[in-house]
Amino acid sequence: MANGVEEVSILWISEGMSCDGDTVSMTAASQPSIEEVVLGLVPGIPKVRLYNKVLAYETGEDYLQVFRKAANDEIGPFVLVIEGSIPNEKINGDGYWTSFGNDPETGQPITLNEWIDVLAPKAWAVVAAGTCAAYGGIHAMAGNPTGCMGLADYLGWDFRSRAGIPIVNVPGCPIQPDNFMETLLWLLYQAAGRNPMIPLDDQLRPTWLFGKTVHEGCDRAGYYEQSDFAEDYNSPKCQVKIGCWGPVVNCNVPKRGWMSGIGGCPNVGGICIACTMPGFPDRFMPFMDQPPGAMFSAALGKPYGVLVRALRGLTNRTANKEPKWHHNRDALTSGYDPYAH
Amino acid sequence: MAMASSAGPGELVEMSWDPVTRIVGNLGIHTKIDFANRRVVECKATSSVFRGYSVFMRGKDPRDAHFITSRICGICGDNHATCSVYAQNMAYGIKTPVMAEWIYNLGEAAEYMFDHSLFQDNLVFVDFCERMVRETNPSLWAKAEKTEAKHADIHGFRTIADIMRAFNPFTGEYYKAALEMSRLTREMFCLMEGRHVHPSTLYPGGVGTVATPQVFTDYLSRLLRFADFAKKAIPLNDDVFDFFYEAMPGYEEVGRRRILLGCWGAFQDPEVVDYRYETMSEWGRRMFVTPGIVVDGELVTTDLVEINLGMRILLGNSYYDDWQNGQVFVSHDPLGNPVDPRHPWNQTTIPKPQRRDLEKGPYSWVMSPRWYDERTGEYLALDTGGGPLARLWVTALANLVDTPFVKATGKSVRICLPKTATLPEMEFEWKVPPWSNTIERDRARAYFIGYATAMAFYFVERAMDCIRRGDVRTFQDFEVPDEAIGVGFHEAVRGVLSHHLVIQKGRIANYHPYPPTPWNASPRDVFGTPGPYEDAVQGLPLFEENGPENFKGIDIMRTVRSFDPCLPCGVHMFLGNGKTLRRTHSPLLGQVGEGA
Amino acid sequence: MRKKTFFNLRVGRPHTSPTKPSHVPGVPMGNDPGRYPRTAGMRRTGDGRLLVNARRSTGINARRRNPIDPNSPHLSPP
Repeated sequence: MANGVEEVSILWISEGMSCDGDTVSMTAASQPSIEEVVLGLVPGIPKVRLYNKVLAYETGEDYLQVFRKAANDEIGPFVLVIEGSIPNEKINGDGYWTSFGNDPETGQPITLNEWIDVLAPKAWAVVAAGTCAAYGGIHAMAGNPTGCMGLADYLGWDFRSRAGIPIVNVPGCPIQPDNFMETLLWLLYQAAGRNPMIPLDDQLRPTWLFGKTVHEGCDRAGYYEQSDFAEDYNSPKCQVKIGCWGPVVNCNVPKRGWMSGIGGCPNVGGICIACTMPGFPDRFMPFMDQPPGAMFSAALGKPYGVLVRALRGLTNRTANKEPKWHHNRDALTSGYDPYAH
Repeated sequence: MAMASSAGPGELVEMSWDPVTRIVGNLGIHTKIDFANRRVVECKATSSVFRGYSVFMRGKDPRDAHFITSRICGICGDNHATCSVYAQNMAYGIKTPVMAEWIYNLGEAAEYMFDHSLFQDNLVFVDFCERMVRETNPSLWAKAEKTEAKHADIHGFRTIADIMRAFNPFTGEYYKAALEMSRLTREMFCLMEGRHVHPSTLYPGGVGTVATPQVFTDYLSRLLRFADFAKKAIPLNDDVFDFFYEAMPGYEEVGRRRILLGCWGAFQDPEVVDYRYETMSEWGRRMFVTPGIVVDGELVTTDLVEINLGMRILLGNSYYDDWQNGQVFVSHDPLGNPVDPRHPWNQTTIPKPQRRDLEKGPYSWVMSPRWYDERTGEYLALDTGGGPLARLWVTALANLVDTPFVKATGKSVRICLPKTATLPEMEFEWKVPPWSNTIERDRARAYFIGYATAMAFYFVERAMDCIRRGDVRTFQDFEVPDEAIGVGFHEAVRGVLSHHLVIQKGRIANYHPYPPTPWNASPRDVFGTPGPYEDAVQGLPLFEENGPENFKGIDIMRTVRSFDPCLPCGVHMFLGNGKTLRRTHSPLLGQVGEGA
Repeated sequence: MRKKTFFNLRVGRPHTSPTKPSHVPGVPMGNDPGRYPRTAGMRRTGDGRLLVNARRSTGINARRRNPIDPNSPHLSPP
């Protein structure tokens, strides 16, 4: 393996147009937890220094020092994590949509975009945490005034970091906690020289997390196969007819739950609104409307579903009966025969 | 105590903290400090993020509103989703089924348990940890080492210094335990609302969560473990805060402001609520956290209709165009009362980004919500005290909440938590304090964690009653009307939350959410009324022992954080008139300015 | 791209409109009151109560998955 680094800083900027939900979600992770990584409890990765403003000890300029030093290439390898939609600062004249700290000369705010311009080319890797940073997300919906977008739209989809790594997108609104920590862990092993290039699909998502659809991982899919659908939200059955986009969405939340196997989305009664997808939210609104394909595939499957339920009913009845030889009579009828062969 | 060596009398030193850390969202604090007299004289806070929810929600399907507005906040998004559902229920003319209403209450209770614990123990208490206290008040640290903690027998820490050591970030025992509790409470939340922070199972008209014995016993098992932690947290918090008052006399003045508190109520009673505007005054008073407004210590109303009609949005120093000649969407409420053009129903948001001017303004993305008091004609700059302070204060004075677990008395709130693994049944009493200040805002947070925990026990029992009856209905169907209005009142973790909705032609014509932070951190408005931060920070006495060279501004930071600022809505404030200003070397800005 | 200024913002020819992602009349909706009678295993009474049985959770021999004691509530799995 190529030689790796001993120490890595994580510079986390949540000053995109953000709700900070991905940072909060990161603190929910337990596989591994952020404190396990920061305290060096996971073997085989470099020493990690985390700079995230929600958890930081320092305030103000003390906190900003590491970012200013990184801009001058003074801190060694760092992973740049961006959270929040990237605004379009070309459309607002003298104004600004977001900022992170101030210019020491002019006192004016430094926009997030200026930070990205300076830090991304120097970063060992660049990660977009959450759908907003990955693809624009909620704030980019039709009619929005800020013209915002995802990081790859801003830096270019061909962007490569200093280590030759593409932008790593971890979508989700917010990120599923362990999805993010696992991705970070892969990158840390890669920084240590122990992992190859992180496998990313054509939307720059880790393949082992986003390589299958919600429907393929949902425990309500059995109802779909049996053509047994929920017609309203009182039902524990498959929700494709009442708004769930699961069959066409890349996400693993129904499969792994939200935290420690608890919760999720369609698996617990919440229609999938496709919050990990580049097309979110516009292509999926109004969320409670039936998705176009559902009517077609539900109708197509109906004859099969009705038949297979009937057949399974028969077999289930037989399976629910104990065999005849389980009884309390005074003779053994189990077919016992010492000479049988 | 170290003093600013070269600052003469009446000379001010400029100090800035931008970004403020250990909060949610983007906030910068710019102050002018009189070191000779150890006081903050002037302060401006700015927030520099605009996203535009009230703009891009126009024209969309109203049923999407709670999914979208949840994304306003990444720690309390579910509060927004819940409030939006309340507003939609009113607009569609429906009510949530009883079982679903208990599920909402259980989810929101878990949110309060989670968020208040995380914010207090992992964000606020870093300002009270060993490392910070050593760096800002070494003599206080010396006292802490010698002071026994009054409730050591409950929480297990022998001295105040032991507690402060346990607050150290990432290494402190209490800090780490709190992070684990924050995951346990979020699991409880996920059981009810699917996922955190943006719920998946909430819909207007109810929830998609399947009500079975399993989901409630899963919740209850975790609640028992959390309740054990909460019973230790309250006395531990009391020990630390009482120590601050004793060891630093005069600390009551830090962050103190006029008592002007607003609470919009939380936890509906499904036996009473029907979401109709016409009956809102009655079902509002039956919420398990009572809505109301306290002015100078007196409870002036508990009526949500009166609260609604008094809301005004004023522009002060913000990057917006005014809407005085814009469309009036709602001229009268459903009871026939006239609605002001400056009411959220009639507001139009027109963003106008421009260069920031800290001296003359405009310099921020926030407006100034105020409450118009008809008795006096004043536009009151209400605050929430960070959330818990206002909730407890109003509930105590209103004397309406009466359950086996939480009971108001007229001057206090009694909170009863049942037997848990390491502690017997315990009763706590939060008494109305003499001041609305930094320490009391923080203290109230610990008590409200107990309140939410106690109410969760009540809600689980009520939910199990539904199960026992076989009542598992969780959703009420509806049609979206072509023309309708709705309003939702709720308590976000940090305080008052309202969503005002106008539907025209079956689509959202107007939508204005007002979370707690615009109230708390609103700027000086057009009438010159200062905002709550102004009152709290202006004249703040400094107890920190550092001079300007290595000044951390810890008393200012404790005050700002006591309001639990959550800035995805934006904040800004301006206060005071400056005295002679002397720009001096400010280590925080890393530059040398001109001399006197 | 044709550009103009609209309240301080430079605006070009739009790719979409604010009402694009809204409801198209005729598309079935999950909240539609008409859906109720069709849900298997759930029945609405005149006074607004919802009666459920095992068919709500399973399509396989649902009748046999109901409680045998009439005093037990109907509680089917999630």
